[in-house]
Amino acid sequence: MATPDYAALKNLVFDRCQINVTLDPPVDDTTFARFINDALRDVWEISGGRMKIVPSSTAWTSAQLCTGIVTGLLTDVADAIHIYATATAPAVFSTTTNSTTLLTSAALFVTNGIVAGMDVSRTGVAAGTRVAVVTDASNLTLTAAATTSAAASTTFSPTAGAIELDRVELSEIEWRRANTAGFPTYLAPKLYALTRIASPTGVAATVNLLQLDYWPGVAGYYFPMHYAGQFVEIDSAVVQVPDLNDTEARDGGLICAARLAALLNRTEFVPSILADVSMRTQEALARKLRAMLDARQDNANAA
Amino acid sequence: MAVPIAKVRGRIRARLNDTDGRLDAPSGPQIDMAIAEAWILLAGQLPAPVLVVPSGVTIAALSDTFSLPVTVASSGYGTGTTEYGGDVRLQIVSSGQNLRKITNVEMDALHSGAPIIPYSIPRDFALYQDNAQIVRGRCWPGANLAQACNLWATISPEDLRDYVGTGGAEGMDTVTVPGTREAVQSLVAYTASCLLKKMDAKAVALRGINPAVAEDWQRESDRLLDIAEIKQHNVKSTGRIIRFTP
Repeated sequence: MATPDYAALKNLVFDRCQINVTLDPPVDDTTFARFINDALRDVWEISGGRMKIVPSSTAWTSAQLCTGIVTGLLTDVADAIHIYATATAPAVFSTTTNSTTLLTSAALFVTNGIVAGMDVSRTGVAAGTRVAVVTDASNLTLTAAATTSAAASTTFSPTAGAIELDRVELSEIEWRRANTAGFPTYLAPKLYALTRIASPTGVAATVNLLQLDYWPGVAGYYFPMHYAGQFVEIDSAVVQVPDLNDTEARDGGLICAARLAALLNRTEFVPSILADVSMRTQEALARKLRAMLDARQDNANAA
Repeated sequence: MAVPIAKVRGRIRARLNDTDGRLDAPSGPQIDMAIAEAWILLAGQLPAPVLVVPSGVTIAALSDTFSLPVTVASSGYGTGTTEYGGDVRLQIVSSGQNLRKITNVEMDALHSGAPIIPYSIPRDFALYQDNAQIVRGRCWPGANLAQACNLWATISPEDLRDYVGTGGAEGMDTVTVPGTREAVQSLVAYTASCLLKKMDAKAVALRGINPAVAEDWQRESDRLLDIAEIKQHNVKSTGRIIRFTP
């Protein structure tokens, strides 16, 4: 079963609430969008989100020039999962797209150290596309088809590195910066801490930005990041499918239906709707409820 | 044999199920600190390595005193970091004669009643350590001519944290632990045990480890250290203590 899209979720919700009518449905499209996104956001949190993999240049402002403190560029980071340090600079050379996942070069892939997993940035290739497999020195496969057939300069950036940084509190990094005597000397980053920077303007572009503090503060390193993103809302036109699996998306629809049924004075439907929510989501929602009521979320008998 | 510290660190992390960068302490630098501290303890229990420096000591002409060099090591730990382990032997280069090590009391006895030190070819020597940790020596008789001596000396294990490398510009990641396979494995087991004992119950539970295993790791470390010591003994020994005599 494929993940249901916006229209399918709307049918699911309206069916379960018994309001799937064309004439004067009690919930308009705008209201439905708000409710379904609220429900899907809850399921997104329960599911742990989806990991995004970005090169250093996508995550940070010129990290390789910094000496311990790096400013973030992303506003959609829910939580960092892995941060690597690598001294390998992005490779830049000309490649040719073929409107498919095939990318070719003049036998430059091997000599430039291109490997699977690297981020590919160029005209005609969607952001976030990566190298799926390097077939030989002249051919590789992308994770998504290009939209053009043309030659253009291409940047291949590492999305991992030989050094996985250990996550510590910012206090530890600040303490280590102030207390170096007696400790070993390191010539490569070892530790990191993430801080959300207060937005100076309050506009979306500056809200939720991160600051990366790393130790020791040696220059010349890139910091690819693997992170769990924040939920992306769906709508009827642009983002029509939630980034969840089929069961999770259906759970989102059922939770939305239960909430709407209660508001529409159809509370008699709520128990039967919620009974169809998957066991995993039910358990997680019950745990969340326990946490909200009495902070005894680990005690299954509470609440 | 010498094992890069990155390998030792990795083996300790594997023991501790510390395979997620998001887990709490110990971080890499904390593990390195524990390794360095454990190595001083464990290596100190093994027979000390022997340093050989041709013409490493010179007894100046018309002198009966000398100092052991403080800059003997070129192992990347910097000037003045080498500590002598106690066993020192000196051989006069010109004659090949080994000097006899005597106690300072015996040396005093030779000097007693001799207001003028005779100068000839030294035969005996005695050592002491001054308050700057420099090992100094006296010889009897004093040297009439300058006498270069070959130096054999046992040295204490280095503190791995003090490594500065070539030109003082290398970091901890280039350190190697100078031990046999068993000695390094003993270091891994002992350090992992110490780190596990430092963790609180929640951190131990996160790693899915039974904390009782720390005691087993300490015993494993002890046995491995014994094996390492036996190997070193075998290198130096000449076989059975009681030999068959026809």
